Parts: sequence; structure tokens; C-alpha cells
Amino acid sequence: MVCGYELRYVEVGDPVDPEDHRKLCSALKCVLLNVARWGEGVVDFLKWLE
Amino acid sequence: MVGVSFTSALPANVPKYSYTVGIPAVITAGDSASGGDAVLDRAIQIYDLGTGAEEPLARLPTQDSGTGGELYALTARAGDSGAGGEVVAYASRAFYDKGTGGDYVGAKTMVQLDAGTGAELTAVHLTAVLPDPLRALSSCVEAIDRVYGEVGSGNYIRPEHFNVVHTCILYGLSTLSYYLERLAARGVILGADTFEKLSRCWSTASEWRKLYAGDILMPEHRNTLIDALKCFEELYYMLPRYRLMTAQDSFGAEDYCTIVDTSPVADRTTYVSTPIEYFTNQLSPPGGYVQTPPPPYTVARVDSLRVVYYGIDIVVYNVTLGHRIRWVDSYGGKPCASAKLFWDGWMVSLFEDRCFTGQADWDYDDIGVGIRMETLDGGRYLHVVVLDIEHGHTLRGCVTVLGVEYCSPNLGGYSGPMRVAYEAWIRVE
Repeated sequence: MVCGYELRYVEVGDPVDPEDHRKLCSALKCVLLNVARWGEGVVDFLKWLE
Repeated sequence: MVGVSFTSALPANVPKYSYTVGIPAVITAGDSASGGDAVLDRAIQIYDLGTGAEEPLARLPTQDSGTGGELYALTARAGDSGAGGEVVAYASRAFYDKGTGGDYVGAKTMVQLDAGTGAELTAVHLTAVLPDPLRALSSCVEAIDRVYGEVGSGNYIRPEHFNVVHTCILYGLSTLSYYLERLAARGVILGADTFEKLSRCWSTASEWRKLYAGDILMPEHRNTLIDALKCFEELYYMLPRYRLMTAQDSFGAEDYCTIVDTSPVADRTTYVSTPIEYFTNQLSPPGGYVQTPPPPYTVARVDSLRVVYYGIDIVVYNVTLGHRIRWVDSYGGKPCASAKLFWDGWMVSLFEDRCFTGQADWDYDDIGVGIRMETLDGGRYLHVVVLDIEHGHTLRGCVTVLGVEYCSPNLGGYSGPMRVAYEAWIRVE
């Protein structure tokens, strides 16, 4: 589970499910946005330190 | 060694440079306890986009010569822009001696060679190479959006669709490394476990191999990306949180609604002093929304609202009464860390408190606020509705509350259900 998205591991023979890849994209996007917001906080914090 | 280059698949404003796993530099590192020099035993490769050259430029210290302890090294990357041979990426460096448990030991010297020109670069160059990593990260998000759109039902998944995911994971890790390095440079103490995790995430992500047209998609391609992404999120949850105190922060974030007059002092003479009222969260039951009559709260005119929704402060400024429904949206992910959003002339600040704990919502991680005026029983009420949208769904969606339709803007994403999570009625005099 990443960002609320259930990411399914696949095995040999499993079909390639576009929906699985979409979930992967959504989860990655979610994490990236979280990191971006965290980075904004860091920037503010660093400015405050200066 | 893996080199992953951005391709034309990403927007043009994403800086194009190559990644390397490792630090393309001559580095000396020592153990803080023993003072021993680091042993350089790992080859580093850097891929030059301009010349196509692929050559090891340096070796990465991974072992302390004094103690034999393993050095945990932050991996980093750098690349040649191709134009003038300028390095366009920074390099992170931090070492931690596992053998002695010694303190963080930073790289003492860093000299970087440009693969294209052979010119010697200094760390000064490196720190100025990502002027706006957040914007670059946003571009990566756009690329993911594009992939999402292309990987529709019935469409083929192309190698590039995997490559973009992998590249953006690396890019996210790079951005995160960048900030960690900035913090460390300012003397902020960061836990060794954070660096260990970062190193592990890089390692996992580096196991992936770029796919090319004609490659057979193997389970490990997808599974490795999942592992890398999980590691990335776990790392994110380990990060220290920084939030500047604001006027809103003087109020504790609780599960109630608070109305706060945050108008500028100079303007307050035109408003009646705003008392703080408390509302109980009225969460819609799983079966749907239950109509709730407006409570007889009496509040003076306000020009800002603060709604605390499951620990998330939603502050709405410039509440112009009598206007049509307004909407703001966090657009993706759990709103955290003072995200400021602008929509239709409204500014909404989302401040996190517990959104990192998973308690922010019911697995629906986009939220929006609808505000409108309503005249009921001879009184005027400001109706504030917090809507919860299923994660990842950002296309226009609507929900009807008391016969009034609240709709989100079309943010170019995906449609999905949403429901009323919270509402408050504020009587306006």
C-alpha cells in the first residue's frame, strides 16, 4: 500500500494490467507531491534560519 | 552501474541530465571516531549526455580503512548538460560509519570533472545546479499524468511508461536528497537511519534497468518499481517535518471547526470582532449524506475561515458573502505541510498535523471545500462543506447538498466519487 494505493506484485504469466500501472502512477504522483510539499517546508525552514 | 537519462517524454522544462548511482567525484571521507580514511572500492560511472561518453570518473568510499566499518554513502548523480559542459545536477554526499556507529561524516573534498570538457568543477557549481527542484518535480508529475492517460483500458503499456515511473522515482529521491543535504549543510542533525534508508532506496531503484522497445516485460520490472516506491514513501515518512508557526498555529488543531478572524489588523476596524465557535464534525455516514439543519450559531461577518478537518487546517481567506459556490482542492495526496492553493480568487492554506499518520481521511485523499451563502429561516448562513474525493480522482465531480450542487473544478485528472465529509453552518449577521 503506497499512498492508499494497493500495488500488486506480479509473477510470471500474469497479464499486464493497465489498471495496475495506473495505480502505480497515482501512488508515485502522490508520493512526489508529498515530497514536494515537504521540500517547501524545508525551504521555508531554511529561510527562517537565515 | 545504471545511468538513466530523461527523454523527450518529459516536459521540456525538466532538466536533462544523466543519473549515476554513486558520486562522480574524488572524495575523502573519514570516520569521526577513528579518523581513518575511507577506502575507495566502488566504481562510479557517469553518463555524459552531450558526448555520449561513459566512463568511470571516480570511486565511491564504502569502507573505512581505520575500522573496516562499512560507510553508508548517499548516492548522487551528476551529468553533463551537453551545452558547454556544465554539470546540471548536484551531488549529495554523506557518510555514516556502520562499524563504529560514528557520527555522520561529510565528504571533505569534492572535485568533479566534466565528462565533456574535462574541466574541473567544484562543489560550488554543484549547489547551484537545481535552482527549482520543486518545479522540476511538478514536471515529473505532469509526465506521470500523461502516462496515466495513455495507459487506458485497452491500450498497450509501452516500455517508456515504465521508464517514466522509474525516472521520476529517481528524480524524487534526488529532490529529497537535495533538501536533506541543504539541511545537513545548515547544521541540522538528521538521523543516520534516514540516510541509511535513502541509500537503500537508491539501491533498490538502481536495480531497475531501463526498458527499450522490444524488451520483454518481466515481473521484476514492475515489482522493482513497487519496491522502490514503497521505500521512497517509507523514507518520506521518516523525514523531519518543518513548519513555520503562523497565526493559525496558535490554535491547536483538533477535530472541530474553528472560525478565525485572520484579516489584517488594519482592516479589522471594519469588522465585528469574530468569536471562536466550535462545531462538531458532522461526518457523513458510510451510507451517504444525512441532511443536517443549520445550527443556531451566530457569528459576525468573517473574512477568513478555518476548518479543521481530521487534523488538517483549511483556511479560507476573503470570504465574500453571497457569492456562488467556491471550491478549492488539494489536488492529489494528503494535504500536508502548509500547502497553499489558489483557486478562483481564493487562497486556501492546508496545514497538516496528522495527515502523515493515515488518519486524514477514509482513504480518500483529495479534499475540497465548497462555500456558499444560504438564506434559511430568515437568516443568512455561510455553508461550508468539505468534500472528500477518492484519491487520484481530480476530474470535475459534483455532489448535492440540500438541493445545491457542489462541484469541483476540472483539474485534468480522473473522475471519481466523492462525499461530504464535513459541513458547518455559520449564521451571518
